[in-house]
Amino acid sequence: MLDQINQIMTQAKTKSQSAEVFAVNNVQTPVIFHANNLKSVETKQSQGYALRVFHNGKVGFASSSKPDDVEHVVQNALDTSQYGVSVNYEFSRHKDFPDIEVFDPETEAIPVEQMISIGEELIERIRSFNSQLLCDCRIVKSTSDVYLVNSEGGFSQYRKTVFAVSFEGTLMIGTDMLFVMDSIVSCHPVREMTSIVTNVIEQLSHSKQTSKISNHKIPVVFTPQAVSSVLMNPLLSALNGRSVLRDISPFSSKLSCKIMDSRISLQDDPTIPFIPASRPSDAEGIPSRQTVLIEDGVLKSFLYDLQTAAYMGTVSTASASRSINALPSPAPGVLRLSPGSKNHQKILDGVSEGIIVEQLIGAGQSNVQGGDFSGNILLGYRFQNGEIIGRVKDTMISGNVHEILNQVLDVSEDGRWIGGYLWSPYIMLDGISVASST
Amino acid sequence: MRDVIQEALKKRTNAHVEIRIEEKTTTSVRFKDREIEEVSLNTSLGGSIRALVGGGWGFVSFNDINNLDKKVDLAINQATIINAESLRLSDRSPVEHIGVSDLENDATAVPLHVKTQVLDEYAGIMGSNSAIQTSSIHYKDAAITDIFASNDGTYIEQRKADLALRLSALARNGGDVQQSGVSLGSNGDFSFVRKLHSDAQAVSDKAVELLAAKQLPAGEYTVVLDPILAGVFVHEAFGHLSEADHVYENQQLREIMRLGKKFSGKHLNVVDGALIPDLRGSYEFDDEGTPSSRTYLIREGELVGRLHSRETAARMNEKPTGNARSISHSFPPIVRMTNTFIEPGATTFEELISGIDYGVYAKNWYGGMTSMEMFTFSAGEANVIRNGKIEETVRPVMLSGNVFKTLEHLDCVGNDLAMNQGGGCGKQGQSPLPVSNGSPHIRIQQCLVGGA
Repeated sequence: MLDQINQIMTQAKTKSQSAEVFAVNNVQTPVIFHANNLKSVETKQSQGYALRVFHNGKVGFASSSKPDDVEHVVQNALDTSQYGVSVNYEFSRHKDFPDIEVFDPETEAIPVEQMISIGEELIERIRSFNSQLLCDCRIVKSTSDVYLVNSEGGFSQYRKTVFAVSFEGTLMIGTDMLFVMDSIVSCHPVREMTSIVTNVIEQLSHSKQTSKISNHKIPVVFTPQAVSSVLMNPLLSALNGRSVLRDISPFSSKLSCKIMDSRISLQDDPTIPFIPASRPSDAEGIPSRQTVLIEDGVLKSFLYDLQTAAYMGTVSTASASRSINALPSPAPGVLRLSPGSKNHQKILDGVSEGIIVEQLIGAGQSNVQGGDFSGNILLGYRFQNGEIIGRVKDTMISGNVHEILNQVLDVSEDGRWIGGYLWSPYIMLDGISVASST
Repeated sequence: MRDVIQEALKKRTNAHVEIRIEEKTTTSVRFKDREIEEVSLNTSLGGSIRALVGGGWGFVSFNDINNLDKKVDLAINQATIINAESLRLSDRSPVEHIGVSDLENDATAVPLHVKTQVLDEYAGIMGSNSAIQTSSIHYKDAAITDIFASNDGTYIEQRKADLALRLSALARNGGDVQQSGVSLGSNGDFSFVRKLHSDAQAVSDKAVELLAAKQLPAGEYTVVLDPILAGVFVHEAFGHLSEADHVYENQQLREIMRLGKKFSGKHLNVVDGALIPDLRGSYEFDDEGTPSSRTYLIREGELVGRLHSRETAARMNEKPTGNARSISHSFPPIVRMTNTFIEPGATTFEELISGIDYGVYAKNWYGGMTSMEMFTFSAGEANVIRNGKIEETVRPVMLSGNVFKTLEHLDCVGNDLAMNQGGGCGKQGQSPLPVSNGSPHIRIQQCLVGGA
């Protein structure tokens, strides 16, 4: 890969003012179980490289996955530059990066047979609790090599492994369908399935009967999973440097202002070792660092890449994210919400009636930029005085993240990692609109 | 290339083996306000091998198309490890087909400076509205050459094109941000892209109008859906449930989805088919080499068909429909929709709304999702219906429900079928797949409406 990158750089440098190559080489092995049985074993190799050039003061961009496509890519990038935006930043000159470990040779070496056994064990343990459950499961190991080279001397290269186990079970009674699910992801191999087994069995136990809510003005508890899938997208879009630049973030011009309940603190920290979204540098070769975004409800920073930072007269927060086929844009690395002081069970104990939301259908499909969320509860429970009464169905919740994060009732001390990018506690909120079918 | 592929397929007698090679060039243009934010040109070349041994699938994908022989070995080895009870694929006669592109107004042949010029007009229209905070245009076209060969003697070369475009505008009043947008697409035909001046105007007007609009209280309403949103409804609520890979291993769901079962009144007819020409979900052969078809899913309210791959069709003893699709060479084909729509009835729009005392007219779309039994779909625009008349605009709403109940509550189908080609479909990590969907106006009683 490096040979190819050097070839592109050599050609691009002579024809443009500055050039940058971003390249990724990935190999992943998914092992897939469907309806309780092993269905397929896959090997996916992919590689690709992207060239960004500054030419006549403008940005050009092209990418390819063809190994022998160098001249074509250089020409494409130069061609697009005549339409590109004016250059207002310089490429990174960094060559040294913090030592953030994200590669575990054991993950790469784990044999397919062992991955199959992990899946078999997981399905067997869960089905021993309920043999009616139809189980789908994916176990994936992945190794990526990421390269960032530019004509200013910037150079970043790292290797990352990711191991992911995800489980979904379907239980049907008549036309009633119950979906239970959990997943775990790490840079290390994950061999211990107890946490998934426990979580799924708990979901099944909580859903044995359905329960109708008696009152629509009740507290809603978001589990870490629901915080991730429902609340984070609207919140992150308001914290994105791109939204600030366009002045469409509800947080624009609110730096150092109190924007939500003081129990909410959020930081971006892609420096934690072996968390899948961690990395030594961002996708523009800026060394990873911690960024406090919200501290005790006060807005401290937005997420910037080089371009958005330059427009806003500030520096990159090492938040450039990109796929091979597009220019970088700001995105978080690893997010951590701060824990509260009570265990979530303690919080539930003090509430006469409420809903716990775990999964929502339709999250992220409304006016996210404005902070809105809405959806039907796919997996959630009604509770009274700390006790789960039953599953809530055919019930919609909706609200605006920027409003309801000012109506925090409590934040739990306990929480968990979700998707290898977020640590979240349970958050109990007031003021959410709840509607159910009759 | 053909020789190399056929050489790699030779003497593979102990497995069913498929080889796919895909070459794709993509052009993307993004406007932010009047400025071009990004123009990018992407080229990709890659392939995949799929092997079936007994009841196990092996799959290998790659960008380096050398040493196909070794990749076939790897796929067969992976399939062999699985050691599952043998499964059958539905029969199909071997096909040899070399397709040629006969597309008029091929977007991929339109020079880049023409694309940027045309889009700049719309950026100008949206930007000239001083109440708009920001607007954006995302344009993408792709030209694909796809080769499929299998060791049962099939060899197919297809040329495909795709075009997707979204115009959107945001209006802001303090912390209140409202957006409006329109998603459009075609099977590569550029001509519609030249005629969007009124769409651009409508998008920016709507975003501003929403700032003044009130939120509708959540609850159950009689709703009327416009053809675009009704298309999303039929895709989410019934289309996904018709995909046989959700059904074939699930005995209880097979019972519920038994052919002949009544789901709605005689006014409801639902069709899916890639054989219907010139739409985003149209093609001649699917990604298993099965010819495309036109399949009735619901006829006069009764379940009469479903969408199949070769594996699901054989398992359920039904005919393959040519619905096995993958989003690119790096994924195996799975059962997908193509062009899905509700056939028109006889009722005019005026008749459809005339009996409604208080209801919601929901139009346009943000998205939709399903879990089979339950689904959601979100409107981009909504109005109150009062005493049979369309009245004030309200904030966009999300609609949701149980598919079986909702199909029963779908009590009237209009006469004005229109197809929507914007957006794309996602399933099992494969997104966005080009599809189209459509419907006439439809009415649903007692539909659950959430806020925002």
